[in-house]
Amino acid sequence: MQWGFAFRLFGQNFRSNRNLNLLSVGIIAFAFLILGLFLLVAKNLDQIAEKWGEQIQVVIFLKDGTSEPDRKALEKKVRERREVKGLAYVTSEQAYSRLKKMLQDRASVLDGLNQNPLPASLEIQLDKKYRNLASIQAFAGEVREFAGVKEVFFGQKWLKNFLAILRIFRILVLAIGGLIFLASGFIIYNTVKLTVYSRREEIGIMKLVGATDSFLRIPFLLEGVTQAVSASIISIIILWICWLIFRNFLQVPFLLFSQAGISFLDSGQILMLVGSAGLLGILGSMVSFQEFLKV
Amino acid sequence: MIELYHVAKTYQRDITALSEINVKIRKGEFVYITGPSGAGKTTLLKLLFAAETPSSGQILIGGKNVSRIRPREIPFLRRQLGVVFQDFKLINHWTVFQNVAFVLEILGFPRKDIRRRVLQTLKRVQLNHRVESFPQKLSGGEQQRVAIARALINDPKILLADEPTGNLDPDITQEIMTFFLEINDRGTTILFATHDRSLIQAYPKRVISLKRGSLITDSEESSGGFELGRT
Ligand SMILES: Nc1ncnc2c1ncn2[C@@H]1O[C@H](COP(=O)(O)OP(=O)(O)OP(=O)(O)O)[C@@H](O)[C@H]1O
Ligand SMILES: [Mg+2]
Repeated sequence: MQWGFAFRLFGQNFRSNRNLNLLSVGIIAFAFLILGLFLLVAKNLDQIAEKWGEQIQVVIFLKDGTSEPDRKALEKKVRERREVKGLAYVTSEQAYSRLKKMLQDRASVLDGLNQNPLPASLEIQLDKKYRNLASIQAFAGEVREFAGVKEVFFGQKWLKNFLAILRIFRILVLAIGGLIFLASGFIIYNTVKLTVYSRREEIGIMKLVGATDSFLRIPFLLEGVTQAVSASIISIIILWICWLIFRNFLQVPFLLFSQAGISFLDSGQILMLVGSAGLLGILGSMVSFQEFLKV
Repeated sequence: MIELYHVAKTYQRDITALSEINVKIRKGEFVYITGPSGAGKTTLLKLLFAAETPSSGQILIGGKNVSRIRPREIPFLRRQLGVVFQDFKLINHWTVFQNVAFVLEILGFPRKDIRRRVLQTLKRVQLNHRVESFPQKLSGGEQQRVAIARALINDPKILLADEPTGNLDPDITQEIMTFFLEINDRGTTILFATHDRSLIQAYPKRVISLKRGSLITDSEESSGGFELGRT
């Protein structure tokens, strides 16, 4: 296979259809910019979710009057669960003095109680892998049935809401991503089709002197791939520049709000964007060349 | 080498370009195909390099049935043929060099070999001073010689030449004919479509003459000789 030829023809095609090519690169870059922006937001929301997930406390309240051996048995049972990374026993007295400390000078409100109402508890630290709502819910549901357990508590509601929002956002990103891919593929398909069409006469001549279809396809594949890949790279560069400009304005409020820093797309995500653009380019130009051969 | 049995070609259902053609051409032969304009010469050649398919009949080239060739095999058939097209079929925004070199590029020849062979062949058709020109800047005769160089660059087994001297002056015609006869001597089978009776007289060979799509005479099978080209 003569790559020299393929690149030469590709260069000629590009030069003679330069404006069209640049236009389609521009449009695809714009589409990818939107996609990249959504990915960026999704990524940072994910980070918040993770940060918050890490802070989820699961607390197992013990039934009053649980005996020392029963408690030890329960502790052992809980500790054996794969979700559990660490566990601390808090007696009812400790809980009471902690509460007192928290209330500080208003601790006198507790004076009205003639006995300590707080149950003893096991404070669970979850393994990182299981710090998500589904695992936590499953874990809580099972532990609740253990002997000696009065109640299992975790910050359920707000997390649930946040994760629901996040899930909707992810679906949105997927849908928009799909749309953008379709649109970009269609743009590439059309540009390459125009190039192929404007080259039909010489394609005919090349076939007459013995060129195979797969040989002739290569310059057009190159065209599609170059369009898509350069568009995706341009969009990432623009996104990166915007990021550099706006990062400082966003960093502080973001940190205050979520305790998580913000970050740009990681190299894996960038590679994925560029790679999928390349694939798109191959597909778009292949379809248009194949269509051309049929007529 | 080339065999046609009951070959007919009809364009658009009612334009009969060829009918009932039966011809056998042996390896290494030099055959003129002659006849008035519209007789079907170009059509006959087009059937051979599979640019058209016969409406009926069988065509064999080197034992291969071209009338039933699969599309993906066509490029490989064409690589064994050299074709000088009546309308040249040069790519206008490629240089003379690129037009000729393309045939070898398809075949994956090394760049250096390509350069050497292209220059050598262009010299043979007296175009070595026009290597980097573009076809549109060349005269008709010069373009024709580019087409000839492209057809011969890869030492084809069969040369199909459609009026290859139509635009050439007598001196260059003689030079090109000498070139053709030379490669014919080296074993290349040549089919040469022409109106030019003086050419046939100057270089007498087998003559197949067509008229309105029918084969009228074949000098090999009758005693008429090349006189029969006059139809
Ligand atoms: N693509 C086509 N569609 C319709 N009719 C065609 C086509 N090509 C050729 N013909 C017709 O077929 C007949 C034979 O044409 P052909 O080109 O084979 O003649 P020719 O002998 O090569 O003539 P010339 O000496 O002028 O080159 C003509 O009547 C022509 O009009
Ligand atoms: Mg003709």
